[in-house]
Amino acid sequence: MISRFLWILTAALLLPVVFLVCVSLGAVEISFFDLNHTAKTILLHSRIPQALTAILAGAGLAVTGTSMQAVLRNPLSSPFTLGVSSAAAFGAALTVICGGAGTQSIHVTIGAFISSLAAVLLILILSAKRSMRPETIILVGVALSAFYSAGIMLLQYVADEQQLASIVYWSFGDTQRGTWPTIAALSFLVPGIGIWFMLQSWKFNALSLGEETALSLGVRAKRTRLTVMVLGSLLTAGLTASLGIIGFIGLVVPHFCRLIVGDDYRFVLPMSFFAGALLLLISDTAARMVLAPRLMPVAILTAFIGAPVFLLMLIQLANRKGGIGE
Amino acid sequence: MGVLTFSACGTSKKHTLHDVPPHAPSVPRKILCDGAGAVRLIVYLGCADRITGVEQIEIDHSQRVPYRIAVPVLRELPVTGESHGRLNIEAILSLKEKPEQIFRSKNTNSGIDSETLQSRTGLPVTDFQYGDLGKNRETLFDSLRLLGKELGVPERAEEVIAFIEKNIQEIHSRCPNLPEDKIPSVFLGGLSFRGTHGFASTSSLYEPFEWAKARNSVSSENSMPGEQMMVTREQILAWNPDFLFLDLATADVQGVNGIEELRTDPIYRELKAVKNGNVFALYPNSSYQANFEARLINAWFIAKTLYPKEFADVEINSKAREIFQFMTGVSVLDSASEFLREQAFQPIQLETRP
Amino acid sequence: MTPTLKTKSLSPSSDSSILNQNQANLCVNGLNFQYGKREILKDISFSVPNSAVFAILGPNGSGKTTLLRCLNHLLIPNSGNVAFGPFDFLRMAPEKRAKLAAYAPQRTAVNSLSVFDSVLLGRLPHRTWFSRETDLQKTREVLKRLNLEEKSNAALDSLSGGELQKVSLARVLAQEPKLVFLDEPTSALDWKNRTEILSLLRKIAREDGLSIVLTIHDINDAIQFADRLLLLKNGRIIQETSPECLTSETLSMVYDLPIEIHEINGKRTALAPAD
Repeated sequence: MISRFLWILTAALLLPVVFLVCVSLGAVEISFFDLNHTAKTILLHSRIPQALTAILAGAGLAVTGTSMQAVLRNPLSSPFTLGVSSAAAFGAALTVICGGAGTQSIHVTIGAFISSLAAVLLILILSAKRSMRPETIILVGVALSAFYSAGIMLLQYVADEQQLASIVYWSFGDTQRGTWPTIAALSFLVPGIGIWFMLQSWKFNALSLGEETALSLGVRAKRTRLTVMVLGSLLTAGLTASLGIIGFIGLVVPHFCRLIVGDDYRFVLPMSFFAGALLLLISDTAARMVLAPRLMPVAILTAFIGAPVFLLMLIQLANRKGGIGE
Repeated sequence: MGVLTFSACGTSKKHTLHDVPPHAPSVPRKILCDGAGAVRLIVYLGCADRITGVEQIEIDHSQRVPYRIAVPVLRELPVTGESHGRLNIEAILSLKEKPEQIFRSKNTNSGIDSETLQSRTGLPVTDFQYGDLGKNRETLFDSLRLLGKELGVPERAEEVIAFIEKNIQEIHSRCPNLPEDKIPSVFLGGLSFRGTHGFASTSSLYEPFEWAKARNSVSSENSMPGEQMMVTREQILAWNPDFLFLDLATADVQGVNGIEELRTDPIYRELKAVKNGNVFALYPNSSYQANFEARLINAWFIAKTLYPKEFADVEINSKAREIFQFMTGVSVLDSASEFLREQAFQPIQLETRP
Repeated sequence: MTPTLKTKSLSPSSDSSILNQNQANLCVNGLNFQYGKREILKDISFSVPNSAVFAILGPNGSGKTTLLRCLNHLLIPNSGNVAFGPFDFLRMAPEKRAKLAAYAPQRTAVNSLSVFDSVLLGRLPHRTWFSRETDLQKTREVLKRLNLEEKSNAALDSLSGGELQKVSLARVLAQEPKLVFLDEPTSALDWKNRTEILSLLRKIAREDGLSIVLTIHDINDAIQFADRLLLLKNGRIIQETSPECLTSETLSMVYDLPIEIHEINGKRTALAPAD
């Protein structure tokens, strides 16, 4: 019990330390003891916003992924389960083609967000008609993803070289796109929604014992599931629309945290929050440095590292339990 | 089995095609071009009037790419494919003016391969490597010679090659040899490559900088050289080059563009070049492969900007006219878009003082 | 002694603490359940006494589990009602219902939650986000009562089948319900565990005054440990009776098998012929 608290505490305390370290690393030499105007500009307009964005996005994606895995009882669920990533990419592509905009334009962000809302709306409509079992939700997400991917294919085909480059480049999630207004919004949304998820920890624990057990404990499973999917997808939509698609954090961090603190969501959720923040922060800094002076969007690094790490974890899980159970 | 001529590092082989009628002309009067830069080289050789079909990408109303400005009829030609080698065989076969030979630039390998193309269309296909004005200059010249030979204009090919060499030579020799610490540092921003990017899009292999004996900020620290790459803004500030050259391609598109970035991004405003007003606009360097004539003119402009004394006699607009006229047959700058006409080869106005 | 059904009084305005244990019990009236066009349950009516173990018996496909699920609102019946005292059991808010009734399915999912934490989950209907002392206290009591104290910190996925069943039962008891619904609580257990659990259930029903409704396969276990038996066949009630009054004819009809009840060493035992 104590050790689980310690892990979470350590992660939380590490965060500001790692933040300071990451912010001090970069192409320009910066000494905290002698900050000239250039150094301040770099910190204020490049490193700090990027680091803060990474922290918020990492925490948001991780905690959303954990919650979705809880209510869908599916270890492969991620913030993109409802198809938010394809929807956002489609919206962005459509905006680029219609508006001829570059990747940094606010219109593309809005277009991407509105398009992802469609995914959320669809789930809400469907849930009013039929009981939303986890399998149904997952399948709806698969169908939506497929639909939007087809749309993206079409758009990519009719796009000219300029638009095509924009469309493809948009999809590489990049924390550099985090502006101060974005950070302000996220610093409300991410902790807010994160705390709300943590307040559902008991319900998640009950759900982990099975739908029937949870229902008989008085948990409104369907309502909880729906609310988590909607809130989580909205947060993911906001993050993806502003920053592009950052994969693997929402999928891998929950599993990683469960390996450390066990299956009790009272601990997994806060651990995911801090671990996700740390992971994306470190990845982002690494992405900045690894191909220097070239810049690499962080999404590429998380994809490269995410996949093998995930495999390693699955192997370890399989060895531990003698088979990947529920 | 067919007639497949290709040029790789200057070697060339020829095989006989069985189906081509024995009395087929050896110099084609009607041709098809495909691949990045193919049409451009044909334009340089003065054979653009022989083209009977174009790729979709050549149909372009932006008034930006010199060879397309020079040959407006390209826009009217029937479409035979997308870009980068993706050809539509049916469209080729149904062209009213049947081409006699296909010339393909092989830098990008997407789309149909030449053997198949040849057998399906029954037309002789000639592949060549595009090359560049830097390390692969010989490849470029060999390709020009090959094309010149195939098209029956070998003298023109030699003229073009000589012209290019003369210009490079002249620029290079007129630039002073300065001691290491006095060499001006420069940075190219906003380079386009398969689409336009922001200011941080640059190159470590930009030849005009070499010809002008300037130090390209990017190459000195680079472990992974590249024709085009995105760097971090912070890195540009770390280098703090003396002169910034902005490729106007980045400002020609809606949405955030390079000039806007220089104006509004606080990190760029810290650059000494921005503070000192040493930011200059270049004609777009690339569009579906390098605009060699633009690069030559850009080089003259860069040299003049860096060494005004040594290049005092050079008037850039006349130089541009001369080079464009020779290479493409048309005074491109007069027909280019208003934006380019106004901004190219000028310092860029940025309100940096509050 | 069936009390009158007050099925019209819907929302429980008072909470279960004012229920007089001796008066309230579960009354099922006219329950029907259809799955598409198929009728699974037809016109089910019975009532469950307090301090008793109520066993639902029948062959496979007779609707036992469906009935249990209808009772706990895991399935919604097409018609009929279920009342517990003055409360319309089916229309209660889930949170309130969970304070009255607990349910254990045949198998729960296992993960690495500790035994203690998973039993603590039984307190969910009564608790806030933080665990109060009462919650922890009750959990410990229940673990002790079921001899699970030593396994308090063990992970669920390290337990045997029998232990898991006891944990489920512990969680159910931690809920402090008046009604307990158990789906085949013993079918996966060996003889020793079966006997242990069933006699424990009977003891708890008596001591705490609970109504324990369970579905069961084994006729003899039912005869030995239940107070009342409900025999289902094809979704209809064949008979509701006591173990003493159960006849061979009824059993044979329900199971389509010639079954005989013999008295062996003073105990009524059902025997199917070995043919």
